Amino acid sequence: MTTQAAATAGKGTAGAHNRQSHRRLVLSLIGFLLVYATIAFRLLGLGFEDAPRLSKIVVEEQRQLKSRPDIVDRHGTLLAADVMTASLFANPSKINDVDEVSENLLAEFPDLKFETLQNRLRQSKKQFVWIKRGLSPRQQERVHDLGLPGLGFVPELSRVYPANQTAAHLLGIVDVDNRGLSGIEAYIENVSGLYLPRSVNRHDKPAVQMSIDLGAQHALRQELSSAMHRYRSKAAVGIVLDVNSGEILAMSSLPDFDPHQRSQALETERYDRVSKGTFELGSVMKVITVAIALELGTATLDKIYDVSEPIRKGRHQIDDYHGQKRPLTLQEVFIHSSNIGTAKMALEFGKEWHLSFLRKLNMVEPLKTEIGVSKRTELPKHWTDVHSMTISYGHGISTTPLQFATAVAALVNGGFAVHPTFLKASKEGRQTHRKRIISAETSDQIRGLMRQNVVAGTGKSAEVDGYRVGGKTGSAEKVIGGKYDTNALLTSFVGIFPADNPAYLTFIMLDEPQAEANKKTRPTAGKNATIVTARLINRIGPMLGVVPAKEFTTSFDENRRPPY
Amino acid sequence: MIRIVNAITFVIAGALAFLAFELSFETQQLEQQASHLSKEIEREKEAISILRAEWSYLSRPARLEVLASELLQMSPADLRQIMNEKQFAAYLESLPGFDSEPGAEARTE
Repeated sequence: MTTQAAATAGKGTAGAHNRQSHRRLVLSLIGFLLVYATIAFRLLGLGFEDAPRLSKIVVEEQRQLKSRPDIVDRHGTLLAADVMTASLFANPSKINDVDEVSENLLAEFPDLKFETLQNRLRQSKKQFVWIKRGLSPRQQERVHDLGLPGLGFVPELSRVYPANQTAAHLLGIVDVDNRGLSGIEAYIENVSGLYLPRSVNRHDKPAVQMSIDLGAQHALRQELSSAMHRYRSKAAVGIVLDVNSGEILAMSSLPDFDPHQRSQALETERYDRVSKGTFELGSVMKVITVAIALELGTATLDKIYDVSEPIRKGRHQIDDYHGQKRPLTLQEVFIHSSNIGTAKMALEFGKEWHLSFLRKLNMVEPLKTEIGVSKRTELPKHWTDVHSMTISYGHGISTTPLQFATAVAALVNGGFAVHPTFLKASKEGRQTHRKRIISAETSDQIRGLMRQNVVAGTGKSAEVDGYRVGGKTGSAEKVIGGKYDTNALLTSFVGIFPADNPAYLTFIMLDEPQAEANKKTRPTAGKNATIVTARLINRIGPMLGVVPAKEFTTSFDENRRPPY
Repeated sequence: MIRIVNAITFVIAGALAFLAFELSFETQQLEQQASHLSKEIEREKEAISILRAEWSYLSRPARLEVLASELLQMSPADLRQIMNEKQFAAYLESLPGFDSEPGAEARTE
């Protein structure tokens, strides 16, 4: 076009008019071209723009539902998951043939009542009536395939616990809107980063990995339940704890509940005794008293305590159950569980040290874990010498089994503080917070004493051939109607294995166990809690990968004789 | 001259319009396919999560334990069954009729 314009310009004045009209033409041409180009580009743009919209809608629908991440055990086994269920509703105003619809539905769901179904479907003014809630995907498909008009589904998420009751207290429960109310379910609710309401597709949420081992958890629960049956006890509690990392491998409190039935979880007798119940645990507390005495140096393993006479202080009298009526070494005081001996030990180091050590062992303040805050320990308001003496053998202090177990774990793992956790710890995480509580030497002595208690003392029936089990028994009389009842016992056993270098700690507690059928003996810990522990360790040891050894290789001298 | 230019412009505009509609149509098709697929994926994921729950339910320890003892006559591992490789070698040696070098005889024959 420019060449033409140049040519016309060359024709001189005669072509001036011609030249002007040419210029206009060119201008309008360019104008038209621009308009066409704009239209074409706009069309192209429109063609592309709509693309992602429809496919997004499907995903959006999914996000509308409140969903929770899966919960798995330390090996990845599923413990809790959301599954999609459908609820069937009908729009009676759109149903032409009520008989046909109800016949078909009854064939699919025989549990529906013919008359109620007919009545509901005949309310032709209504737009919405429920038919059946919580359909499985297969049922939904079959109803869908019936192709009946006027029926529809509402998708709903429900929480399922494939292992049923096995880890009920640990997992907790959720409400009808799929919100966590207790246990790890409540923890997921409160910790950001775990509970992602709508931003993430629910299938892409990372699972929450717990520290528990489902196999060990099952073994613990089953042993406790058979013990409850065997000894006709009111309740049973058990903990398996990794003494180094503080991870809870298993924890159970019976009676427990079916997590699919929320109302059961609220019954008072089914509460979580491990962290929400405090108990006067009795002689198992002597482990702590002896550890304080050894650590402070107010006693040595060979120190002699005369336990032949009961201690009288005011109107209190401290006496021994397994009375030896002779001078005993500290080691004998421990393995024969002498109250008199431990009370004297407590007097030696004094009440100030006693309280400060209990505080150091996390026994005084409530313990915060992922499954909630533990119940507050009950201690005397004004701590006197008498309190110190009774607390030395586990009376006058009410604490949660969880706190007691973690305190003992710190005494036997080489002396490092333990904080219990219900989430699987990473390998790096295990090494970081290691605060020393007692010296490695004292820790070693405590292990030796606990081993001796099983070899030669009250804990004999806790021995497992192949695992050098150590431990301490406790048989506390329960306070009933304001005074100690000699017939209502709370028996317990805190166990460690292998005793020379413990990997795991077990704690078993039975509430009011009775003597086994056709036996007349008093049902102290040595006759029940120890047996449960032995059976438990026998089962979970191989599961947890503890290699059995025949030789006992602790630095502690088994043949030590009292020097008198 | 002007006609030619006009004609060319019309042809170009027509071709562009056709291309735009063609592309738009194709996009719609693809997008429908994509939404269909993503629906399918959601359904499959849903099915997987249900199957996973079902699998965990069927393989829960309480059930497996009973099945293993009744159908396979199995019992929990005994501590005496756990040994390291040296102990295991010694255990094998102690078995009557155990040949520590199988095939050694065959070679000499």
